[in-house]
Amino acid sequence: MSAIAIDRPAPDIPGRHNDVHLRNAGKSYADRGRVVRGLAPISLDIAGGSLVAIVGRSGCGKSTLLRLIAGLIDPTAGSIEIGAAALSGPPDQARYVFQDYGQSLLPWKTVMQNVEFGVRHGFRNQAHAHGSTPSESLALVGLAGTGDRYPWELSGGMQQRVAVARAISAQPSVLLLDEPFSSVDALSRAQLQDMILNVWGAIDVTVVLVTHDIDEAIYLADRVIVLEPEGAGIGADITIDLPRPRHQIETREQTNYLAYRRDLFHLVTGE
Amino acid sequence: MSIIVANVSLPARARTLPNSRIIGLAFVLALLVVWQIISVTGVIDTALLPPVSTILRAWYAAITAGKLIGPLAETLQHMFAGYLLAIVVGTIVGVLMGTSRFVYALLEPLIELVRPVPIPAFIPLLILFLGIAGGLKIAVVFIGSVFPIIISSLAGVRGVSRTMRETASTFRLSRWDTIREITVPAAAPVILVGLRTSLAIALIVDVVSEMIAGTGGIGYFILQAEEALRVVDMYVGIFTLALVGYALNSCFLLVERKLLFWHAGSTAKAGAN
Repeated sequence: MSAIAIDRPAPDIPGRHNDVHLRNAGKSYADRGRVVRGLAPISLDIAGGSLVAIVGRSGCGKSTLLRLIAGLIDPTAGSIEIGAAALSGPPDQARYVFQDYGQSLLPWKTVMQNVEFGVRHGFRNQAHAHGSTPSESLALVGLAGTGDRYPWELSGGMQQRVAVARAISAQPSVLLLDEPFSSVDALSRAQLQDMILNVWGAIDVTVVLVTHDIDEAIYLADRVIVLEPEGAGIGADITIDLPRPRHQIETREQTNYLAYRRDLFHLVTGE
Repeated sequence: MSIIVANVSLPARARTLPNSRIIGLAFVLALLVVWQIISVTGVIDTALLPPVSTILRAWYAAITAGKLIGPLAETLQHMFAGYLLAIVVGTIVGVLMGTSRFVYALLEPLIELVRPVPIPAFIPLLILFLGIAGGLKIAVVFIGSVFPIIISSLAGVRGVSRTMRETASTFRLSRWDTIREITVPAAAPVILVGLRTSLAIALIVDVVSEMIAGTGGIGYFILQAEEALRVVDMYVGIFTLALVGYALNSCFLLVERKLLFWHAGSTAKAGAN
């Protein structure tokens, strides 16, 4: 399975409805009288329709960043906007795909009912809806014909596809992926990466992906943000200039790819 | 008192083994045969331990004469009224306590004060308020069975994973939709454990209340048999309760398997890819 090539709007059109802006947004926690930094205040503009990967070591705050955009936690400093709307609580325009699909899909519902759950609890703004039906969403993630089965009858990779289908059937402007493939085997992971490129190519959605896998970040993204250890903020912001459609073998053999890989490895590990 | 409780801790797989039930029933049958022999040979006084055959004959006679149907219907009627009321109230209270800190703070001390009181201790007081009619039995069953349901509902709701709760918030479910679509279904396996415990308790306290403040029911049937020294009828009452308890538990397991068809499959795969 390879990614579908499509013409997409230049990602730097100002003021798109699916732009994401962090304005000095940060998060700290109070822990037994001490203030613990989750993520230092950062400013970041993510162009609508782009695919951005966030990488960094454990504890760098990359999940905190994603949870801030998802409205699962409130920033203790600054603000976050999607389009022109400032966030307060989980935004209607964004949907989140959790690492732990087993705890996120509803096991008492069939695959189709899970996707319909996404439709029922979807973004109501029809102006930007891509209008895919539950069946189309399932086809888009490569699961046509599995609607009658239950999530727990499927492999881990297929379950995560269901979670993606459920998320996109809610017609989000922004899709947030939190280490979505870290609990599936390597071969499934490659297929899931291509599935994400396929989905991103087919609908107008901004994708923010958190991953600990540098290769995955380069392979998928337009832009890779490296977070400094211990929530210190953005360490590097690298534009990935690799041709699309990307290909699991050819893309990864390109000289550019290897250069990005070397740079990012040093940036992330600090060596 | 473990007529129904007996099955509670058996692992799910044991129930699905086709032969396990036959083995167990054969064992019960063997014990009845031993009982028959002991009784007939006079090892134990037949006045205290009548032969199984005598009990079965008396049982059959009581059923055909309609002497058991009335008491049994009364027992079940009160039991189900109190039990269903306990399900409704207990689930609502437990879920509210699990989802609202205020409700938890409000009710937790009250529940922990009332819950440890043995139910029979309430009966004399309840008689003052309710007399000895059906309302008393229903109230006793309710009090006896509501607490395990509250506790299990609370535990079930507390056990819903963070990811599941966050899934509800990222899909922007309202508080009510979250309870209806996420919390209650996800907590159902734990809630049902409480419902099953309560089903056993409901029968026990119903019969106890009939024996303390009897006007009818199987408990009263046994009490009357005792007072008239009709030992065989005491066994008839106990045999009836054993079968009723067994049947109730079997029905519950059937319903549970229908409701939680998804649970075994989803937990068996948990942690695997």
